[in-house]
Amino acid sequence: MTLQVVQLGRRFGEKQVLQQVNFSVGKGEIVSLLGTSGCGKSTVLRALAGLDPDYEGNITIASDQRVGFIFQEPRLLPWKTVLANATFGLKGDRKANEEKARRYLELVGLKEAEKLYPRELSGGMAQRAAIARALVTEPDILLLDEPFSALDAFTKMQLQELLLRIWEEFGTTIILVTHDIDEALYLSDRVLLLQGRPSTLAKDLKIALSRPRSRGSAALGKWKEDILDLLEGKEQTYDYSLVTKIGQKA
Amino acid sequence: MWKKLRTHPVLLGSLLPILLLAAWEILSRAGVIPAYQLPAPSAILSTIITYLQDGTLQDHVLLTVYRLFIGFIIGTAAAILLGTLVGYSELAERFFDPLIQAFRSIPSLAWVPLFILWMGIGETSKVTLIAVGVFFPVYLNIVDGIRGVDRKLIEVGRMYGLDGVALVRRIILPASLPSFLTGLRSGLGLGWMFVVAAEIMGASQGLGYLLILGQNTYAPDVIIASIFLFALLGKLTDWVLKLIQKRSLHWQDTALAK
Repeated sequence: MTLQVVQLGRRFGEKQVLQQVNFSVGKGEIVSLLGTSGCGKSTVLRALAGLDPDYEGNITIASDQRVGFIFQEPRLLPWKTVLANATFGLKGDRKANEEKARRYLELVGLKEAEKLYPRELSGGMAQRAAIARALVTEPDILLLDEPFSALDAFTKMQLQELLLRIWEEFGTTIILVTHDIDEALYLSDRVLLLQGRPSTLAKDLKIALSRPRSRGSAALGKWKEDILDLLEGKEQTYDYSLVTKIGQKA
Repeated sequence: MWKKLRTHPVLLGSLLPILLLAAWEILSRAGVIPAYQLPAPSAILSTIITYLQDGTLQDHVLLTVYRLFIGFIIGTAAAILLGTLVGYSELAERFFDPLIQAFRSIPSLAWVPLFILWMGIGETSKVTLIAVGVFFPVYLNIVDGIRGVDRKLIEVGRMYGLDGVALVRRIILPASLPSFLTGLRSGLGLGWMFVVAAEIMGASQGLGYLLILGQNTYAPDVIIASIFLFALLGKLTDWVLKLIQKRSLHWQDTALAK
């Protein structure tokens, strides 16, 4: 077991947004946390990353596991070049670090861009640079918080392929937060569905399909239908009485 | 001709000063403006040249710049130290900031009599006054800058194991650099104001002393010459800071960066 979550919960003030979330992730697995916006999936990831210390319950990560995090936005340091951003997480000899960073920049397809500043990059390039920055530290577990949601469809596909290549090459354990069902199905070994107010883990779906998967295949389509049914069936329906109330007020 | 005037970077802007100077010169020579109140530009220029030739002007300028420089360094160093602390730690803010804000509401020139009483009329009181003047704008901008650092970038630092001093050095200071440099520029402006005040209140050398000398000897040319030199030096030092600002902030994604 690489990572284990027991009875994870989180409240913001009076409001309980997340409760009784239990799951574990094995080495080299790709797991997606899927849910509608506001369901607390990012909250789970931030707790795993140690960015949010105020959670309830227990998170156990094997002590030899290094954790890397990729945010929804690239979050590059604007005063550093792409290369300097990529070496940000490294300590020690600068020359060696830069050599290492160059290898990862090449892997993500930014070999030519190392001298550019973040303001000179497109959205996709910036996110690639952010991926390189995370990979340089050689994480065993890679946490990604809706990493491709701000990108256009084509760039998004390219980066999904990149993520799979990284996984094949390094055997990285990957936990990905997304609201994109297709993305979750295309990439993951397991899809964890978060639902309800407060959210709980509604479903742990094992996607037993070999890779490479074909996007839009019938098998993935079937999974997608099931997930949509689950989301529609259990998600709280819209409170129409509220609309009437507001209408009356006006 | 008209097109060149419109597009040239300095031509249009220098037109009005040149016209005014010419009018001033003509009116002075014609005796419309009395020379004992406002001498002609050429007379002022010749005063500057005379002082330059006997070497006294250089001494005055050097001493003034020296005082400003020392005061500026001391004021800035104190501002960096306290500003970083207050900006970064809420505890330090609650401890220091009320007192600092209270001191800020004292008009800095009101310190003059006290400083003279404590430190005499020599260099120490002058430099202290300048340092006090420089301190506040730099301090306020550093605190503001640090407060304004994007929380998302701080998270990046924390994700890579940075904490305390390392976080300040690698994320917070570079991210607040734009605000810090703005503070330096307004601090320098105030520094010039206070060097004049310090030299007026009692000095035997320096550009501010020349102002008083001109007043006491009924020599408006000396007064205007030193006003002119203050303007020139102020502009020059600000230009240096502006250059540093431009160099070190070239990464900024703003219209001004281009």
